Amino acid sequence: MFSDKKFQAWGKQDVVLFASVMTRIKDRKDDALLSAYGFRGFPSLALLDSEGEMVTKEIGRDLYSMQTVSAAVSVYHKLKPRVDAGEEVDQAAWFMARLGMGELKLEEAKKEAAGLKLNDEQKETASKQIFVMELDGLVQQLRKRSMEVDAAGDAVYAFYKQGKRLPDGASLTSFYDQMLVKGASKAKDAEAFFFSYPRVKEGMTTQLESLEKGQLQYKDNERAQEYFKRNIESTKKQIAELEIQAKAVKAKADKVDKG
Amino acid sequence: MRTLILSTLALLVAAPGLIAQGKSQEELKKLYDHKVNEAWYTDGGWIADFAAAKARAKKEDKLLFTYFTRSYSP
Repeated sequence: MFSDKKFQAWGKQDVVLFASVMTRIKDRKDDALLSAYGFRGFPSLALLDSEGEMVTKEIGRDLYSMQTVSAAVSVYHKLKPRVDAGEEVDQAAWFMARLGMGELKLEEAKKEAAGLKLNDEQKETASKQIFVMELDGLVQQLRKRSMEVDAAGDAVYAFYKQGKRLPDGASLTSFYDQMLVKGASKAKDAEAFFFSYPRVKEGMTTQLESLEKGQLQYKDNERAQEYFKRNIESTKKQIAELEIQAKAVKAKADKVDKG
Repeated sequence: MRTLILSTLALLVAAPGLIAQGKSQEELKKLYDHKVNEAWYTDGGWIADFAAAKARAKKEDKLLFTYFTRSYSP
């Protein structure tokens, strides 16, 4: 993540990047920072102000989350004391700050956004953040097994048809792509399918290469060999299924073109 | 079996600290120098000194994006 050029560009422009390195070197003052801020392990992330006061520990591990929280946090901390004191504040700004800080649940966020006069920039930002929350909701439903994978594929395909795309740096990009190829394959929609197909194919190929490398590296370990054999077979099967779907979708598109 | 699992977990948690205990101050300093010369650190423009980081944040009116990590152990 930290080697990513986009992260580095953001880091140089919008924040000061502080690496609090615990060293176990005798008498090094900065070694005490981890426990001073209430963390227990590595790696941990936080936003601090220039006095070293904790601003938030709630930071996602993807660039989009980091950018969103950093952008929202100073407005949030400026407005919160005034809101708590019962003062009138710009409701649109307060909503955007709470949304960026992850304080709102999905339905709350949609309802508030609909009732407020947001400017164009706020509408666009809110729309992206709400979409990320919607997608995260699908992930949670899949994890709890309260939704089938096919249904998630249909839902993401519907999002695609509504023009909904993930912002750059969002961690759910891989999930979006995998679900979209499922939904688009079912709908035989070539444009939607091939929007995500290259990234899904690349992801599966990279995974296969990594597994094959591991299989060679641990060739004397019987249990590791069982693990790698099982997962290599499964990944090859997934790649084969993806290619069958790609052929079927392309065949339908070619048929439609020929009229 | 439960004792074996618990003691293995305890060992995994304690391992980095145990590894550090076996190292001299000079070795720990070398490990720190190595850490702050890794590409992610130098290319990203990171600062490892808290006072210097706060001073820069104050001057530039920015927040400190803080990454807690260690050099004494992997």
